[in-house]
Amino acid sequence: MNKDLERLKKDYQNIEIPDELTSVTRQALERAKQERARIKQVQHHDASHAQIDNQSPSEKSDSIQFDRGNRNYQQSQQHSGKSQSQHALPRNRWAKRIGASAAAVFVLFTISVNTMPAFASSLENIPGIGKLVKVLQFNKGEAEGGQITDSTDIYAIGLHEKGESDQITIRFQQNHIEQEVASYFHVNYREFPNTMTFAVGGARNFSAEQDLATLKKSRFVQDAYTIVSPDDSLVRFTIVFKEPVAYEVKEYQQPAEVVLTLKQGTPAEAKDNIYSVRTASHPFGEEQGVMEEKLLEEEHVRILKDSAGTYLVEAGYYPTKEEAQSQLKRLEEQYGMQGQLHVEERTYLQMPEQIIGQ
Amino acid sequence: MSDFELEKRAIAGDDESFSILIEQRKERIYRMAYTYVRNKEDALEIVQETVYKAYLSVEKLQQPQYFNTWLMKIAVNAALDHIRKSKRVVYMDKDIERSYTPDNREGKLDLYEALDSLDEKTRTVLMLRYFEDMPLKDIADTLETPLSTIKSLIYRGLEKLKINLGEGELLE
Repeated sequence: MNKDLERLKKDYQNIEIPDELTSVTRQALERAKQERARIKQVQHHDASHAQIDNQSPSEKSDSIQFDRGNRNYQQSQQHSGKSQSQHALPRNRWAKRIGASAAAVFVLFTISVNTMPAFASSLENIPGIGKLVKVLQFNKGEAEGGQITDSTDIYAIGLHEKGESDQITIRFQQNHIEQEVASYFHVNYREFPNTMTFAVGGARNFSAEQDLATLKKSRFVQDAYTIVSPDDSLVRFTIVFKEPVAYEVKEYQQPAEVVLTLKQGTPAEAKDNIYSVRTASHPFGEEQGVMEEKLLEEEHVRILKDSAGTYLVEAGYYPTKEEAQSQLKRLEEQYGMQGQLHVEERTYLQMPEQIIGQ
Repeated sequence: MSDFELEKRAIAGDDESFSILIEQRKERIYRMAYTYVRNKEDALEIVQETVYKAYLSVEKLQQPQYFNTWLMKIAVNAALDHIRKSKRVVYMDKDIERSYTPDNREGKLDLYEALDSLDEKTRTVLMLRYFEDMPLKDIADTLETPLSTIKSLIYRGLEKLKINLGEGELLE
């Protein structure tokens, strides 16, 4: 080859490859997988529209999906619009064509993903790429892992189907670079209804919040939502399970990843109803933070979303109505919460109902 | 496993094969993107966009042997798209661009200077041909441009760079 070209090629090959490249491609793949899963969800939604109609959570996730679709569409429109405005400049003719072909690629891919049933079977599994740090040991439904970090972004939450089990993965970034070690996190598992809450410390950003909607695609997951956090460096979210599940949480490093594996649990023998002592329902916000803080000394306090999509704080639940009522009295007196607590009877997997306060 | 086998599997929806193929090609995509934008952040964004788009449309790719040209096509389009988008917001600062340029030794042609003197399309063609060693036919496919046009773009581009190839070298 010509000497000059040789030298230029060398320059080209010397372009430095940044360390972030691997995490960037992995992240893009993860996002693309979730997008594909969402697209499938929309298809499913279209197919069974009537059936899903009365479930507001699924509708919510679908509307996110549609918003995104529209945004892309507008973008591609803008592109072609711009290229047309440059029509008079001959040197940009090629740009116009490329712009048009980019739009064509987009249109093609839209069509292909909407008509390709092959997509349905391809949720492959990539969790657990790093080294296993530990399998979390739950003690009374509580466990923790990771190391203290700051300025973490929980940037990706993914769902992967693997045979009989589903895996939910949580990934961490700092300054757009994938973390080597997971941030400090605390997990607790509770019943009535079955919930698992993750609290991640040192997390100032939650880019993956929108991914929570995807988790509802799992056959085990009823709902997944963020809950209010007492400070701005703690991110908390709760996953609600549809049925009894067997769970396992593993922590990986290099790169940092937390993987929750869900399997069918042993079918619950008929469980008696419980009596929950809880606050009234409020929209997502400060209210839950205030109530939770008042009840902080109660061992089983948790924030729940009710069937109407508003939130409440539960102090605990008890096997009999009498016990619940006496606990309610104690709590009212101990924390000065007169008139703020209610007793609610619930079945095993029932979500709390909305209770409007005075 | 051969690339062809991996490509076949990726098209059939096998995520692992797709990941491997991307792993193998990510540096090429990055370098190419970098020559367009000359900074790490934008180049990474282009890589991200390319991988994202590729994953979502890989199943429409009919023939595995076109995987490379198809991927490069997405990357080139993503890069050009990115440039257009950023131009809409803020014009590239020439001084900043310069600062990425290595020293210009004794009037010898340097990479970015060379690329800057060419229009977008010629630049892409020369890059694919001489830096990525892509066959002319594949370049024509990638850019959806007739082979004859590609050849003349190369001739004119090299002429502009005052690079003289030996007889017949172009079509090697």
